[in-house]
Amino acid sequence: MGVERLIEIMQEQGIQLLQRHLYLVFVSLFFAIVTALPIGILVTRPPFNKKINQILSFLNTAQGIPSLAVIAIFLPIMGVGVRPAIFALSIYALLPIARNTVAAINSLDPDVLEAAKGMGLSKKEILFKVELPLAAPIIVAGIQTATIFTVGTATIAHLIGAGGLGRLIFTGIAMNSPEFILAGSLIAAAIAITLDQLLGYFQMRVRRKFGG
Amino acid sequence: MKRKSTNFKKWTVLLVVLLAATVMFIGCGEEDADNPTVTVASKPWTEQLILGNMLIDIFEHHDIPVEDRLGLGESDVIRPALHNDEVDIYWEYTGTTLLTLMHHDPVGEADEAYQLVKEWDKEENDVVWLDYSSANNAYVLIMRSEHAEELGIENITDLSEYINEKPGELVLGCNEVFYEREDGIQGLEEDYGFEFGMDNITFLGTGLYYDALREGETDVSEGFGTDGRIPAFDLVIIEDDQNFFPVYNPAPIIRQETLDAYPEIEEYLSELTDLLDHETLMLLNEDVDLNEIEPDIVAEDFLRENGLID
Amino acid sequence: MNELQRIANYFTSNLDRIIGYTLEHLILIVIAIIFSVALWVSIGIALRNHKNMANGVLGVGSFIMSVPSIALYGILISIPGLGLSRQSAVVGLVLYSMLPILRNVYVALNEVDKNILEAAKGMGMSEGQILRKVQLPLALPVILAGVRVATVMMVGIATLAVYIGERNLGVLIEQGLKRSRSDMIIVGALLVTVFVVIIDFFIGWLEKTIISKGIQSDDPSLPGGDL
Repeated sequence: MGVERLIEIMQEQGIQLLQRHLYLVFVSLFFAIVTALPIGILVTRPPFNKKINQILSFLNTAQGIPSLAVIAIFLPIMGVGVRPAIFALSIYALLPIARNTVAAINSLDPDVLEAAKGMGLSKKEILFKVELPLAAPIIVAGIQTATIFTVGTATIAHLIGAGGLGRLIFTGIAMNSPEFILAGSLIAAAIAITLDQLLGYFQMRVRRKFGG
Repeated sequence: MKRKSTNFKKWTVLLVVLLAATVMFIGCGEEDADNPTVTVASKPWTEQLILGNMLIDIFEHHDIPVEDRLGLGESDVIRPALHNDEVDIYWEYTGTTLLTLMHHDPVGEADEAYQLVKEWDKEENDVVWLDYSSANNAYVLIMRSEHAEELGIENITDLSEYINEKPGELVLGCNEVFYEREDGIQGLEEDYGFEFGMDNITFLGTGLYYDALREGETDVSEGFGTDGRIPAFDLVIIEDDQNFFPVYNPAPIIRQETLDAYPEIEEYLSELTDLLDHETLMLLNEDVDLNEIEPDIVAEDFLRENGLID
Repeated sequence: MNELQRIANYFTSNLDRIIGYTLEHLILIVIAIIFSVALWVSIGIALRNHKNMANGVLGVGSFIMSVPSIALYGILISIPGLGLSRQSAVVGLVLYSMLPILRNVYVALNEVDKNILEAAKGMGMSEGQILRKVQLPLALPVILAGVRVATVMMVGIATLAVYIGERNLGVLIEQGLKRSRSDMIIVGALLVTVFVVIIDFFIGWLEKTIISKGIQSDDPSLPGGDL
């Protein structure tokens, strides 16, 4: 294992691949969040809320779908490149965020909601001033999970031509090169951990602010 | 008293299960010293899978015990396994060994390349190159035929000139191995004096680059000389006029020790490689890639039709 | 032949092959689960009273999960002694299941009602007896929930192991990608999805049957603000 070679790879190729990787992750998370939140909220409203347990169950199981399947299935649908990868990653990231949104709102103390209604708050006000703030910490936890999933799954996006750190890892496996494997793995793990810590810190702040 | 025996039963069951798991895990294989198992490996793509399955079928037909490790990995993975005695035989290409292992200059003549690798491998690794096939499964650069015609690109020199005039216009599609190997794109660019540039390379998994080229996602692509998708997708090979790529004739390479155990293998396989010319190999590949027949079935049918197995 | 027919056709023409792949998938998971449960439950029990060490160990588990699975495989096969073999795949799966199982064991053992523990001690039970007869049975629902999460995760990660030499359902997707075969990709993706659902339901059923009604967990998958 040549440490110089490892560093060389990280400098020459790692940085550029990292940029693409982060692009894939952030764009997908963005789409995931803006879709998952409304969907999650919708599920807690009639008529969907009758089926909340089934929906939660579905969201839980759906998260178990192998990442390779999710990425690969978009190839016949959308071809190669960044676009199909982002679609796949967004859908995958959507699941934990939606799940947490649903579960969090659903588990709010009904008395609190009654009180809010009693105080004359409109449905919209209840949502934005009571439900979402209280659910926020758990929703952020869902985003945390989604982020780690996405950083990991984005490594497979390389297979359908989306670029990213996966290339280093697959090159390493094909060419029996620990330097390549480590270059890709270390950078990917570093982003995952950094983002996880950042979101964890954010979650803590949210929790303090809204007293979740 | 009853409680004790129930507990005992539970623990015994657990122990048995654990033992079973360990056995499944480590795998019990009694090696017969007189009839050692021959481990056959291959790279994970179509031609290699076909050829590898042929080895397995032929060995089984002649009652040679085999272990199937097809699709193990690329050269860099199988080679160490071969040298470590974990793998006994696989199909390798003369050019690949010549350039990536021997770091030799490219050789364009089949027999010359073959003799060089044969001698080197015997001496360095005690590995024997059996008879080679006349098929040349070389790395090629390919383009959509109308596009190549439109741009007036017939050979790689034309391509290099075009790219130097208009950088950034053409996108290359290839896999990560083609990018990193000595006999890959970087070496080619250096020899011909041009560069696609990292921004103009789309990395795709093996095989995917044919579709990407056809769909217009890329303009130039890596390809294998015997891949049936080239004619089928209306793609054209851009001639390697300065002879960067060596010849890549496939041949089974086998550990001397294994050959000593089964010297008849040399003859069986020689029979086979005689039948595998460029056209034939291309057709076999087409059967898998275009006619959607599984590689092991293609291999078996071919052997049967040619009387090598029954 | 339209796409749907191609897909159905692929499935029916290659049924024996597919069954073989499914079995390989199952075997790999079973082996990994057995080792995982044996290992992480034991360690969880051992660490139950050592909060700081437990947090440290769980931190390692958490770090492992932030490494993309294909990367973990890549690292494992580079380790001399493991190489390109089933061992590497199993080790990868066992490492990945560390967090869900170990954390649930630790949390569950520590969340047993203090009153119950007091009562047991009052009845003269030794620590070992309390563990075996009180804590573990009460912790079982949550532990099983962790095993469920781990197993479901393993189906997915095992699929990726085809890139390090395994030959399970992932082959359909991997070869499908190489040969531009949308039918293989779709069949492969559908099959692994079905597999995940079946495994999830199966362990869910096990949870209901094994665990006595009185201590069944309400929603073991309810997010606790962490994962």
